[in-house]
Amino acid sequence: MSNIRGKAYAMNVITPQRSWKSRILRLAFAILTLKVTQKDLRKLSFIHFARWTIIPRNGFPSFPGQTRGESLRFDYLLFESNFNGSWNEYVDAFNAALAVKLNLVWCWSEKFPGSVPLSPFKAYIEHNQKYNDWYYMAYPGSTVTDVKNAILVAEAFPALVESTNASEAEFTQAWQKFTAIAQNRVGRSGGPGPRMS
Amino acid sequence: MQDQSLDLADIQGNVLRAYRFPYASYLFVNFTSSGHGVDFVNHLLTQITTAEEWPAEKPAGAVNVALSQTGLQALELPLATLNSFPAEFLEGMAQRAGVLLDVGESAPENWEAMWQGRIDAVVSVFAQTQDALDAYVESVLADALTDGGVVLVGTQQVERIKIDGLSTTLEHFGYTDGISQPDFQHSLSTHTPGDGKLAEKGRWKDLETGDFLLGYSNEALEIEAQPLPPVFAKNGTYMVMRKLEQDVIGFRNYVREWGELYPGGEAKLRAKLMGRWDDGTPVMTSPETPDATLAADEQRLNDFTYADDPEGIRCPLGAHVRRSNPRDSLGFGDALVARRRILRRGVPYGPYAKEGEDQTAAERGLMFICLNANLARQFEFVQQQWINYGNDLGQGEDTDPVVGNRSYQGRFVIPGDPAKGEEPFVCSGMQSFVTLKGGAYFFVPSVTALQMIGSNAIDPR
Amino acid sequence: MGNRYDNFYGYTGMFPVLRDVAGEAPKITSLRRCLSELESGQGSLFSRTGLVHGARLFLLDDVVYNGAPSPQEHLDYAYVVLSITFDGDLAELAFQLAEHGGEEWDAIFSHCYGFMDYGRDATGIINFLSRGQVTTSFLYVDASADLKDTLSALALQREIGFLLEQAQLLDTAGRKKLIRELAAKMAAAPDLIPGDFHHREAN
Repeated sequence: MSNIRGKAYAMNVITPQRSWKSRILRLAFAILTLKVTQKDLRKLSFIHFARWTIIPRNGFPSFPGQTRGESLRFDYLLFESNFNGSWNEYVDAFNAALAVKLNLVWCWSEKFPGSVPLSPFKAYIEHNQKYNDWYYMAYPGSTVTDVKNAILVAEAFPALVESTNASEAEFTQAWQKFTAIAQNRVGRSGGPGPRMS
Repeated sequence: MQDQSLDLADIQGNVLRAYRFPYASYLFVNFTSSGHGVDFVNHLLTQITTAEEWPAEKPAGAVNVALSQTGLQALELPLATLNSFPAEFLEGMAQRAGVLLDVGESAPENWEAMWQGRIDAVVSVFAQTQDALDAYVESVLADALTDGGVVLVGTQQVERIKIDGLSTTLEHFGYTDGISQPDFQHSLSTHTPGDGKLAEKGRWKDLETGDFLLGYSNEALEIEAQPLPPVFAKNGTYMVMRKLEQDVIGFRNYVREWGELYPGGEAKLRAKLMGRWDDGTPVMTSPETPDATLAADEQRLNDFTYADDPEGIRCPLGAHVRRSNPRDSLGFGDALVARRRILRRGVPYGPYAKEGEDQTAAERGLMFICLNANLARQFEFVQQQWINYGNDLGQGEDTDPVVGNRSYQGRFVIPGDPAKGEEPFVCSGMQSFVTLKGGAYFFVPSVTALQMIGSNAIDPR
Repeated sequence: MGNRYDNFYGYTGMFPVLRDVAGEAPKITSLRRCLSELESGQGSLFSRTGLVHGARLFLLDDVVYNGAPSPQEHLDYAYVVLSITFDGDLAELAFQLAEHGGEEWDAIFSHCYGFMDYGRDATGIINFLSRGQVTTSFLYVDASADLKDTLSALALQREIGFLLEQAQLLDTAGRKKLIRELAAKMAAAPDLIPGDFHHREAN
């Protein structure tokens, strides 16, 4: 199943969009690019990376040897996401927590039913999803949460190592400081994770 | 008209409110032909207990029925109806073992024989006394068994744990069970703070009925499209049954051994594993000691949230109750949790293991039973993502300390409070304390649906 | 800028697939088979670059129709869509692909227009990638470390769990010893090869 690699799922959705609507969407993206509006996505903490790409109708790449380019009526909005959990869990979470923001991005696509309620939204994504033929993940056994936790622990470790040369009191303090960070960040990882239902 | 009242006579009992009978027996049957199955359904219709209020006092007992995928098939429901049931129900729990992480000792090939075979239906019989139970069982089975039309493949009796003759609400590890139940709009149980979903200003409101009863709007703000036809589905729900054998001796040994190492002692260790003290006091509310007054106060017992405890200092992130219902631990209020609730109706089985007495030979555990409108989104999700996995709770692949399945030696971290200079305490070398001996998914039909089955009146599409 | 997020780069490129030639196997079929046989674990195509966090390839054989009243349309060409999230910039990636891409890279893109006109060196690859690139409109990355640091942090995290377990019962001297031993072990550990799982150690 090429959409899944360990705990990561790679989703591609490509939807038609009228050119004049693309202009509005580009404006929306300019606002979304501001980190403050990405707070919610970060809170969800299960998306490694995601992107939206507007492919203009006369912007499909062309190479020598082709006799002509595409002649299309619509632009195409390509959504790619790399997340943890099952397809159902992912779509459900967006419906539960980010419905409004999603609507702002996808309402410009043809026949988008809205991100609420759940079933028509799921049907739309399913219908417009393109499955991967090949998928690579550099750390397939680790989730976004695992990585975040690992980095916090790794950043704190050098100070701990250094303190082994310090006095007993200083070491004890360093140990307490380190364990306060590490205690909730050592969940085992590296395996393939639950079978996606 | 916004609020709609339910047709209580159409809904089977024990869904909108727990019966709380001290004795129950589950009769597992197969139909030898669709005709016999239909006759049996009609026979049961004369005895089924509904959600209607009991006139004066509680009756001596109650009877209910639920059907599995093989049962619906044996009753020869139209193909369009059968196929409209969700995939997980049609596959059955044994085939979902990979999804639920029922592996190793808990894998279907290790289940008790009855659970490995076909089970068409379960008739649940409840009663106030053992004698009443026997009488009800007899009247249910009556002629159905004598002419060979219905085969009884097994029974499972359950009863509340009695200690020194007194009925308790304990489960076999010694914890008070069944405290937290989802409050939904049309639930007939007492609505208590903490059982619903979060509203503004620390208050609570009811969950949508549609997460527990088919045919009503649910937490995803829609009515489930299945099964078909809608009149067949409405007022029905799904039931999950799992016979969970508990290694009481193993658990007691573990908490005794590690309780000696843990600075807080054994009782507190037990509380940190569960997220509640033995008497039910939530560690979130009272992390240092149990609180009998609090434990007896329904209005306060469940009224807590976790957002003030992001590091799990009061209630460890991986504790059982925090995993089963993370409340607001996952951000966005409880938006990511509200649609993952289950209605629990389980009761213990087997004799209580008194300390000092050798009870190793006896089998004991919990007949885990829950009700929900969407198996995949509710029960299966909790089991797969929060119980037998821990990523959302920052536990990586580590499983629930009390009920999780472990094929390796597990670990559980009790965080220390940095403000007090406390170190974390790591429990390691944890084996599985619970083994699945068998389980199945059932559809709990409404009375209308049973009547439709009983008169072969489900129109094919 | 659309393609960048901190030090991460999100590349998406679309490469039109050659028209079928009479007498030869259809290009799409050949391409699908090629992709299905492509390795995706440790030591695979992008694993070897040491820069890539995630990558995917899918065939866009046509666009999807969602029904009336929208008009239906079709693509004249099929495309191989390549999407890569990696550290640094396109020039660095192209350099790595020139060194390590090898036969697999050729096998995939020899199905596409113009590939043969581009050199296999870093310049050729970056030109090929740029020609096929579609600019990302909005890139989101929930990460802060590059690949190398991410992998070594994950390796350390696995060890810290055991460190906490073992250090619990020890005195200060014992703890210091364990920490120093772990630090030495991590320093001596070989560079990690990206792309694979890590199996639970027996304890």
